[in-house]
Amino acid sequence: MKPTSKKGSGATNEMQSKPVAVDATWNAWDRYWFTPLDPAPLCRARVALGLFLIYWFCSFNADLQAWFGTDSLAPAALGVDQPNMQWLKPSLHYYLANKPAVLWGLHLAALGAAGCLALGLCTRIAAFAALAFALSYMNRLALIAGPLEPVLVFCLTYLLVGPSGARYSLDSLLFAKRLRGGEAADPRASTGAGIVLRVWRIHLAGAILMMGVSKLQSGVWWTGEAPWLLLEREQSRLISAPFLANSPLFMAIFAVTVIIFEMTFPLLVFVWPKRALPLCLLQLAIYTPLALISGEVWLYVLLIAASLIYGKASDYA
Amino acid sequence: MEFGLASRSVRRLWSAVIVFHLTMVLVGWLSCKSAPLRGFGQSYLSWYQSPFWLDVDPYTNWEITGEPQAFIDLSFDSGGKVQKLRLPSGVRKAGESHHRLRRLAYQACLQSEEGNPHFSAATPQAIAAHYMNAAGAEKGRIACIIHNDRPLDEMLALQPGEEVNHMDPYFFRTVYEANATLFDGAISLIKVEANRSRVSPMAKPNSEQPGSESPSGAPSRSTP
Repeated sequence: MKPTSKKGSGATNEMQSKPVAVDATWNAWDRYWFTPLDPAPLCRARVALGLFLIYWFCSFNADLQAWFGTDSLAPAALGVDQPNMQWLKPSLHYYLANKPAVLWGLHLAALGAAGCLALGLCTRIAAFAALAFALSYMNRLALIAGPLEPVLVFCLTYLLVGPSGARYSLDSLLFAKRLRGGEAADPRASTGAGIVLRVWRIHLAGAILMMGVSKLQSGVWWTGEAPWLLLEREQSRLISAPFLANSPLFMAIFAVTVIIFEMTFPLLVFVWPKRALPLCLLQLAIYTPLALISGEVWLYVLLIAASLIYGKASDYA
Repeated sequence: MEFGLASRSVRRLWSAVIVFHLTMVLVGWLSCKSAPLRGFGQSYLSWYQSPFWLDVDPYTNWEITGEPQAFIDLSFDSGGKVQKLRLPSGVRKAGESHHRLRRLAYQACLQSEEGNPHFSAATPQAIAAHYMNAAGAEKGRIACIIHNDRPLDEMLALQPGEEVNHMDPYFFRTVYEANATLFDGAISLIKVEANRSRVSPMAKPNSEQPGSESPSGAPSRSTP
């Protein structure tokens, strides 16, 4: 009887352990995603990305007509890979080519939306408008989109979904004060901020990991030749350093450092998430030379600005 | 954004949304590198991925070395004077305009080189139309030129005192060349077929060889 009872109790334990394991998994999941977080990192990123967006829209000032006017340099038919899928990348700019005044009006509205986003004035509406305007610009110029655009879109989307105006914003000073009868708003931790921050953190870490994986797929990063190739391209580089041609070892070390940093970025932010400032300094140290030799300055500025979502509110105090 | 998150069923719903979204993000990245997944993504998932740019283009230069230098050379008659234009001109300036022109030139070369029947000339056509319309020119010529990267080995093999010649025609490759005609505001391009037997695209020309002095006179190659 003993063995039978043992078997029976084992089966019961197994049956019991399954729901326990499921419950434990669910609880862990629940704890991870639904524990409220202080929205401060989200709000910091809102200010940085709002300022970034102002610059990005301003960069079209000199040649707005050349890109979006009647004789645009970028053919409208190439807005997307397949013309019959154009509705998936909609853009107001397709319809405004022959209306320069409206085009400029739209441009000023886009700048206004970016400004409101940076200031945190009517934040949710500003975030929606800024995302819509940015998508309109990007979709019309999808042909010349680089690695910056996909990163910018998801960052703006998370700003829209999350309570990014809870702090460091005019909203928190003006409207919340009025609603609370003269008292300043209490930017409490919220579950919404927690969800958005966590999804954004995973997404951004994954994007930087992808950059590392892409580099691994290219032979020039393995051989350490990549920094040299970038330096050789006078069309895109921002600095010239011909003396580095005699230091292939230095360039190889730099290439490997970049790959290691990008491949281990998820580890850096999720396994060692205590302090955000060292992460920012590390990013600055690696991305500054990379930005200067590749010319992709604004991609790296955006990555550093978006990385403000990592760490706690007190990290930047 | 609290959305009644105290309720367990609402949390389950949000969990499903999170899983769905992160899965789409992952599929977007994977489809960037895999042709079958790219097809799948474009067919079935694009309704969600495309508006958010999650369907990362395979040509997105994530590794930042993937785009060699590219130029558009344009020459046209304007008021009896021949105007010559190179895009992007000169060395990199800090602004984004130069950067965008660089990407445009690269995309024009890429499309022309691939011989995509849909798009091969659309970008050069738009560029020619833009500048010729602005100058009031009726006839012109456009060329898409790629500057191949100079390998590091070659640099290391340079003798002391020997200087790098960035304009060495050996590194320039014309991937598309066409005569442009502007009539009534509409542009038409007639592709110039180069003599393939003259110089192979990657062969280093002798210094005596004709047409090897300048980037625009670099050995041409007709697109397939």
